[in-house]
Amino acid sequence: MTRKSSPPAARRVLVAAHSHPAITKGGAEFAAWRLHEAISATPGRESWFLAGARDGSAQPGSHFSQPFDERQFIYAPTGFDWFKFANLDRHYPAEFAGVLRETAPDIIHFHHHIVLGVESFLHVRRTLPKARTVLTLHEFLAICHNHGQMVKHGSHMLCHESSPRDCNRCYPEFGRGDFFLRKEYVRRFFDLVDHFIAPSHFLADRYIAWGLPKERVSVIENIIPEASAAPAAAPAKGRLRVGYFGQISELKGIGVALDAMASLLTDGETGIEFEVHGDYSSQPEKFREGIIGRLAEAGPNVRFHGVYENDRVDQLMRAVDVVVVPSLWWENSPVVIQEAMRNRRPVICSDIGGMAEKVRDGVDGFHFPMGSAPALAALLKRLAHDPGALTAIQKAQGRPVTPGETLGAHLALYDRLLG
Amino acid sequence: MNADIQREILQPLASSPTAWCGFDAEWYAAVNPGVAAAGALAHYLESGRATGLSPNMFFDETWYRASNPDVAEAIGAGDIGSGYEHYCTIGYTTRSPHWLYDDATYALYAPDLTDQVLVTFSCANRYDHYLKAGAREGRIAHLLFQPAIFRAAAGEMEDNAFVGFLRRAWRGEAELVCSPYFDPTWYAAHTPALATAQRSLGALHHFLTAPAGDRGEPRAEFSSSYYVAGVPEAGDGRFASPFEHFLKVGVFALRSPAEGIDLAGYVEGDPTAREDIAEGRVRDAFAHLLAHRTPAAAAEVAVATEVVVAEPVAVVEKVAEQAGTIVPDVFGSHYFIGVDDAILCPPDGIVLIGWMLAPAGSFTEFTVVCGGRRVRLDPAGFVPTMRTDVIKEVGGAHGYHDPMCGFMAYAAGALEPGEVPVLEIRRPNGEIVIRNIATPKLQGLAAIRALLDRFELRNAPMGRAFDAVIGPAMTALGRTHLAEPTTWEIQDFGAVEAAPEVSVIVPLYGRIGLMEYQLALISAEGPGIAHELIYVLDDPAQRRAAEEMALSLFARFAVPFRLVMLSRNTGYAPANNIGLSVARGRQICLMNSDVFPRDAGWLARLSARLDGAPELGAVGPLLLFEDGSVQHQGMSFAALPEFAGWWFPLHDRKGRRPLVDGGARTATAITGACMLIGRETLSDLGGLDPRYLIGDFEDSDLCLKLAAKGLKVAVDHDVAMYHLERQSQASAAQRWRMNLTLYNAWQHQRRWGGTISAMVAP
Repeated sequence: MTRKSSPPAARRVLVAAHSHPAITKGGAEFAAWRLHEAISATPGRESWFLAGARDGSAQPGSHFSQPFDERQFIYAPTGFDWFKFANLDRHYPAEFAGVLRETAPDIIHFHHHIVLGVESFLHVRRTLPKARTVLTLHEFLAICHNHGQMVKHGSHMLCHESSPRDCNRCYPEFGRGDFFLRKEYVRRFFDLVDHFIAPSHFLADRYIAWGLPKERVSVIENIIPEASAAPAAAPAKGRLRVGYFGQISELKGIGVALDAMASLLTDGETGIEFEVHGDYSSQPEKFREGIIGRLAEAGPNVRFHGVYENDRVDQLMRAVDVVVVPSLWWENSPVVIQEAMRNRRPVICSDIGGMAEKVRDGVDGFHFPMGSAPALAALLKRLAHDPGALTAIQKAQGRPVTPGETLGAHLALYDRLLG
Repeated sequence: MNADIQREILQPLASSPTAWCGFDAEWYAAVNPGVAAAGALAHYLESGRATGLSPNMFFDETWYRASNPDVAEAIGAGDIGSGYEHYCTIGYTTRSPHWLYDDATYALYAPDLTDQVLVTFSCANRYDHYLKAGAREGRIAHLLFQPAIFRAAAGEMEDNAFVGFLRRAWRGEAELVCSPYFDPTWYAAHTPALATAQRSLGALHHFLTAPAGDRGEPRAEFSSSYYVAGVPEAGDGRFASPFEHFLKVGVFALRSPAEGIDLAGYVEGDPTAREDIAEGRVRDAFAHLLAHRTPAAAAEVAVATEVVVAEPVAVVEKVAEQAGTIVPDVFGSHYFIGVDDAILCPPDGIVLIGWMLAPAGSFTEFTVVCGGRRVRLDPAGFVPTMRTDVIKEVGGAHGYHDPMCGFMAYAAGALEPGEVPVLEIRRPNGEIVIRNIATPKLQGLAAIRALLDRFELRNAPMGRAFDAVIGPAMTALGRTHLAEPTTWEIQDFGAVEAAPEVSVIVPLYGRIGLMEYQLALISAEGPGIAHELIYVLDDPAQRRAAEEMALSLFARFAVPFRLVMLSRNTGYAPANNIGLSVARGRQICLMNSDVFPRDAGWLARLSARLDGAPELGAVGPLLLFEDGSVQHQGMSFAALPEFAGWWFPLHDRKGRRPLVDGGARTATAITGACMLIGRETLSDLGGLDPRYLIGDFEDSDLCLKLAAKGLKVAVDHDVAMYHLERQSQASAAQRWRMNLTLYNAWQHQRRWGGTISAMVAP
């Protein structure tokens, strides 16, 4: 049945991110940028992109500039309070309001609330009372002062719930009253957000437990590029190529994987090889020195390939049989999992959080107990000698959501909010 | 000699900063015949110096060379020009410059003169202190010179005793007794060499400076030959004379000083002797024996020694008679007392801060004397303080170990303008001890902090100490602090409400960043009841930061407010009163910077509650901690025994879960952390009472004033807000801050103690 479709309510969208992918290469800014591109390419819709630029590339005298094209704005911050996500810049409210009036969006979609500050939601409400605000949540930033990862500061033990008492124990320099006020401050502005998007149910549930109203939270994936059809892997018996892709950091669990590989070598499993692709240059010095040492003295079954350009990831993943994501924290919706699945590679991951949600055990890949190198080693050994298990996964594995589906979900949400 | 050094050490003595360092032309001319004052310095430089003449009467060139052979050698070798030059540049730290001053003795009997004290009193060394103050205080700097005894013999004199003695000696006047151990008359009668001595300044001078062969005995009761025979080491040259050995060593071992005098037997047989020595009334057995022998007994001994000793006894008796005469610490006594600081309590009061190491009953009266004024102190009201430094430096060595040996005392109206105060201490035997009082330097808040940081009292003694010392001193200091004028500037951000119903007054001090949270949360509500927000910055050091923050906050939240910036830090009550003076609302909401709204409409509801209940003078919300438990739901009074039984307002049900039933409940008192009150009502009461310094008790005081007018106060349990207590104050662990709270408690108790007792009594 066709019916005359009324013009979409959300014709004009402003996508606001804390940074621009031309300046930094994080997942959130790429996700925001792809959303902007996808909306721009949709007939009947227009999109603008606003990004913070921590390297201060604005012209003197004005904090907003347009160095790329008329659809993009760069904001140079002058003072940001990371404890409560407050933008202290007293010129920002008026200049941001100016950009809002100029672009007159129906929807303002924020990825992250850092750099731009949570007060931005108030500025939107005051300047464009009819517009709707959407916020995509990345990590547990509003909940957890430890970089939003909900692991205990120092010990890296998993944290299940924040509270002024527990947060003060992680950060004694801030009193319980401070953490209480932090939450009050953030929630005062979150109250002005019309809808929240979480890329995983796991993240959504945590935020709802923290206090977001359930009816205002939806689970929608981030947009990742589609890949061409990938040939299935053909692992040989006794052989297994394991790939690690992404930031090399302690919480990403590189240590667990290296320990597992070391024990496999001792067991004589020479057919299992570990290909490490990624970058540790932004990690703290102590970790960097440690990992350099470990990689140097790792056995012949470990090969470190260094950093890779993001557009080569498909090629690199097709050169391995499985992708391992051994993170020691909850994770939200790791891009590497979507990339692996679009290349039809089974994912081996820790059994917690967003990883366990996105990778169904025995369907999309396999779980192992978080942090357990022996369990990971045993799993890899089993798979090396049972290639049938891997091919079964490849048949059953879910398809990653296509960019079109993701975009469709976003647009449907926008229209619903305005309707 | 280096020209600069020469200029300095030979500057005119009268204008020299150091009492012994300079050239005294008048004296030089007077004691060197044929030299005129005008040419005195030239004479000294040309020939006097080389031939062993002294530049002033406090330095003895001849004696210095004789006592310090290494210096004499250096002079002979041409390394140095004179003993005086050596003393000025090197010797002044440890060597003695004069035959009647011994630095080691002075150090021994004045252990309170640490280097720090010398610096404080601008003294180059101990000798300088002795000349400037010690001699006048009666301190002992030589075994054979007691300023008090000399003064008693000499009568009234302008100078200190040391100077007086020396002047008499140089003028050749009759020699007076200045020590129980030396009898100048007897010495003159029995020492042939004295009469023929070249340069003589009297018997004592001869005894201390003549070569051993010419030297006589100090008095009848001592025989060098007899003593050395019994104590051979006394003659081995370590001491200047066998008599010195006897006084410093032998007498304490009860060695016999002469044939027929058995010190050991004397002490055993005379119980008063033992007691007097133990109590420190006399230095040793010899002194006691000399003081107590009857002329008859003395005559017995005299037969043995061929001399009748009568005068010394008479002199010492004379000393005992004159109860009002100034006498120093008894030679080698076991008590010490010092005043090391003072705080001025304007206009003419003074707090003395000192310490005493003494057995109980050592002192009977304390009087502050200044010019013509004399103010008696009551020791029962002294505030005891901990002085581990005194025990470490002085007490331990003399058997005192209790560190609570410090005291603070207050004397009202004691200071006479232009006069220096001293502390006069009377002992049971009539002696009077004098201690100088340092010039008070601290003012204002610094003085208040210094006063309050030194003691920690609890329980009953607290009441006395506050009544006698802390209370009156703080009242005087507080009055001065409050009398200082305060000005202010107002900056308005945005269009502030012209005709508000309520004026919210928030004082800011210390953690001004809380304003960011408070304003963000207040702004969440939207317009609400017509109100104005008045922030009073009571922290001039943070003015710039506050202005920057205010600009940022207004740009971000767009809520209008007024910022009143005070020129100085005045304290909670004055800051609020200034806010009151510029407020335009019909009602006032006093609010702390660490109070945060929870639900929309809080101000409107509190305002309506107050309007709807004419029997109420003030109303406040239920205040919660961040975990939702009760921080405040009204206050009741309790008499706390650990704080002298004073009434303290305590929070009811603090930390418990809030009551389920709501509504307004009357309370004895409510907190000023968030309080709604009519502007006229508050103004009629004079605002908050600024005499409660810095902060505390003014809310209780206000509620009691309302009660006196027949008005009640209540907590509205339907309006809950957060109070994150103590976030905006400095660490409560500071002792002076605690004592300040206790001062406010003391004032509160004096004003309302009776009222509260009547209120609380069943």
